Amino acid sequence: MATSATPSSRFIQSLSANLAYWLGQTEHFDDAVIVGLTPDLPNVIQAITIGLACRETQWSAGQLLTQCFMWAESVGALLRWQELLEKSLDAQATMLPMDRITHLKQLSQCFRRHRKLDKAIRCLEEATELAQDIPDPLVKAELHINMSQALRHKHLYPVAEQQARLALDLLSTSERRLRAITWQTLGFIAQAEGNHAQAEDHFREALASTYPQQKLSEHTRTVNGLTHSLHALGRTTEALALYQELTVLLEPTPYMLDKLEVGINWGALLYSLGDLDKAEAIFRQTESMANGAEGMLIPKAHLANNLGCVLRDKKAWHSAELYLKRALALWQKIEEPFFVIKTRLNLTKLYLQSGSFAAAHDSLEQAQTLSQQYSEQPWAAALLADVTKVEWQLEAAAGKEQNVFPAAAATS
Amino acid sequence: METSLSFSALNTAVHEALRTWSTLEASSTNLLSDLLLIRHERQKTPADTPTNRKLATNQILLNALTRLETQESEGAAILKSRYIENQSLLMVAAKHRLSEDQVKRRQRSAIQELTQIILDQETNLREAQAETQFDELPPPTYAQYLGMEKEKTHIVQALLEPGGPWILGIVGIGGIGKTSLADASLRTVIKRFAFQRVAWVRCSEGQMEGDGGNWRWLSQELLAKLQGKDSPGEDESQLTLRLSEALKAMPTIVVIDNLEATSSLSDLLEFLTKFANPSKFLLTTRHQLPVSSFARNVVLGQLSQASALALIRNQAKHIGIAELAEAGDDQLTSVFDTVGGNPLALKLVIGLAAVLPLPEILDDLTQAKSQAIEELYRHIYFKAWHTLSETSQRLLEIMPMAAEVGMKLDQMAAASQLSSTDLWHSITELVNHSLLEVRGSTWERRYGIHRLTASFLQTEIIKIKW
Repeated sequence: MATSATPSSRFIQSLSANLAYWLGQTEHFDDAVIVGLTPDLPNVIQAITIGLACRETQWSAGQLLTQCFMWAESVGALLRWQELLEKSLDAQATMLPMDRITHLKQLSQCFRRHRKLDKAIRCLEEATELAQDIPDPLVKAELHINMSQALRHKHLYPVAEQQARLALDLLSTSERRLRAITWQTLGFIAQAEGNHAQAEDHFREALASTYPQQKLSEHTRTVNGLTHSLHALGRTTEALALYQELTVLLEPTPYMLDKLEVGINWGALLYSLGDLDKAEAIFRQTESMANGAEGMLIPKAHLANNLGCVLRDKKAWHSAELYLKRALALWQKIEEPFFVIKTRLNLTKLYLQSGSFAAAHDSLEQAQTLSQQYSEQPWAAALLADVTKVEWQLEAAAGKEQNVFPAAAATS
Repeated sequence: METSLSFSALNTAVHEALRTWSTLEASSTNLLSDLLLIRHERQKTPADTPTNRKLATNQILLNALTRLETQESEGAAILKSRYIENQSLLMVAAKHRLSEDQVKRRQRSAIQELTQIILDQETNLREAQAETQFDELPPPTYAQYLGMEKEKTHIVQALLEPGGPWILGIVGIGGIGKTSLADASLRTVIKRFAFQRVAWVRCSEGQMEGDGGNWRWLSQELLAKLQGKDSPGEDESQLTLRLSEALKAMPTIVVIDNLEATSSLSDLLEFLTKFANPSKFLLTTRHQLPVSSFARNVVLGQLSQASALALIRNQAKHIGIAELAEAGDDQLTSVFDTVGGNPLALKLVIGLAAVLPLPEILDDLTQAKSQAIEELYRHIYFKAWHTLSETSQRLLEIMPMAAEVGMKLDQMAAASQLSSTDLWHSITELVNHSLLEVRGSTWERRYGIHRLTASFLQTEIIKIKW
């Protein structure tokens, strides 16, 4: 491969023209445009890649990159986009603050999606510092929203809520879209804290902020969140109806992540209602979708765990074990200790129920060790309670096993 | 399947089919059962039983008799009475107020007319099927296929074999002619009418890589080609089920062209095996398929001297260098000796010969010949580049901006900033020089370049690392 030399001005002109062409083609996105353009996504990626390699076209390539973020997100190409955003930031040492903020914000979203939360937060911190000199309050508001979302995933709920409220303070009532997203974020925080009544209120605030040309994915994300809380509040009929409605709404769209999340939540509701067969069917259907998608490790991990639990309850021990171990491997890869411990506990219960007490002890021990390692984390206390509960169950079951022959022993 | 339809053989078969109207066939090895007409009819009842085979044959005869009634009502009536109603010669003669000899003569004549009707229907159906299948193939990159005849025969035979191998891999280095061979083989197989459908899918870089391979892309592409329907929201199990139904129901040849990734070849084979039989797969790849009972490799080497000279003459004729097209072996052997038997390299050199004296081209390449094939290509590409018009250079220079899927005309126009006239002129010049590949379909043309061309442009002309 030749080392970089100065390309001809003719080539630079062509490169600029190519980027301008794609900037024009991707100026306005809706579902129909995305579907129509998707066969050319490789050409767009190629345009950006070559554009970034050339100093004269780096800015345009960066613009195209950020302009197409929504497209990349909806077709599951975020891993590729993350690489390109990092490349763009590296290549353009001096960027206009607003451009750099946009890059960092989108990169943080890529990191957050792949649970690289510390990296996500670092990007947002840098962007927030740059935004100090930006007079537009919307810029800061968006950064607060993104920070809130990243902190929520780190289970730092009070700080996450604080960030979301800071965003609300900056948003006028006319900023319907960002207000809707902020209320949605608050809804997810309340939900994570187990405060489902408040979560419902927040989600309904988000829905009340609907606006013309609202993106379907934002609407469905809010409804999906609401449905999960309705489930927790015992309003299962309402929740079931909404899941079905969401599935129909999402069916013709390219929004893979939303489809997977709906499938996961719907299956979980059916599982909680004791309908194991239907739950399994929904999870398997969702799993098939997930298998064909790039990345999406988090939904894949949830699905593996959920299918493992369903199969465990159906006493399909071997299949259940395979799925739970797969979930474990995925959570370890994602570096999400909270879910690693939870899945370990599910595996422990599997061994317990199938009578493999030695394996159950081993698995529980690993869960306990990990819990102790993360005892400072805000979520540790609640999880420790779960660990203790499983420990008692194991002792009770193992003890019962040992007490089978006491009468015989006494008389011998 | 018999490809040629002899009237006399068909006539005999039609007569036999009429004669055995009410009886089940002892076996299905008669000409009528090979007809596309019969095969299409048999699809309505998938179970392959003697009864269903007979029913299908009889239906075709009935359809033809209905047509005959409009042309020659008496003849049709005689055939119905004799074979369907099973009336004796005497009874039919009495009914039609004819002598027995007259009945026999009219019967013979009616059978011949019936045969002609069936022959016409069968010919139309074959032509329609072939046309549909040819339309599925991308435009060939050759005017006349030359070279690799042995390999082509091998591939055609393997594809037409009733059992396995179910997956064939055409294996070779870049520019050796894998895609052309797949195309030429398929064009022969199509004319044998053994498969009811053809689907051609071309891979982009990275498309088949990933976590066990992204088969979702492949399933969607194939289903879109086979059923003409998009499936944006369908989950993978639904896609797999639909694909399995489509490929198991109708014998189809699927070509997967330009497979580059090695990491997912075993997984891909495992995936494809689910859909094989009666459908078959033909893959073009730089890497051999893993050894198995259901897959076979056809490894391509360079063209022989005779084939290379034939290619040279043909390509020269195609781009209008009459002198070279008519040159003797002694004049052309030097080309083969210098360039070797790589089809792309030969085509590029012939493209050069349209502009530069051949001896000079060969002198220049002689040095490169002793080095690696890459150096030879570099020399040829450089030479070709310098013979191009300015507008063609401009167009070719932008082509690395095209992903494997190829670029549409409007993008090419925008990026090259060429006028419509210059764009078309340049496309023609580059295609003639074998520097530009035509991809896509008749309805949506896309253009791309060979990986070797892209590599040359990036390293030697554009000189940017990306």
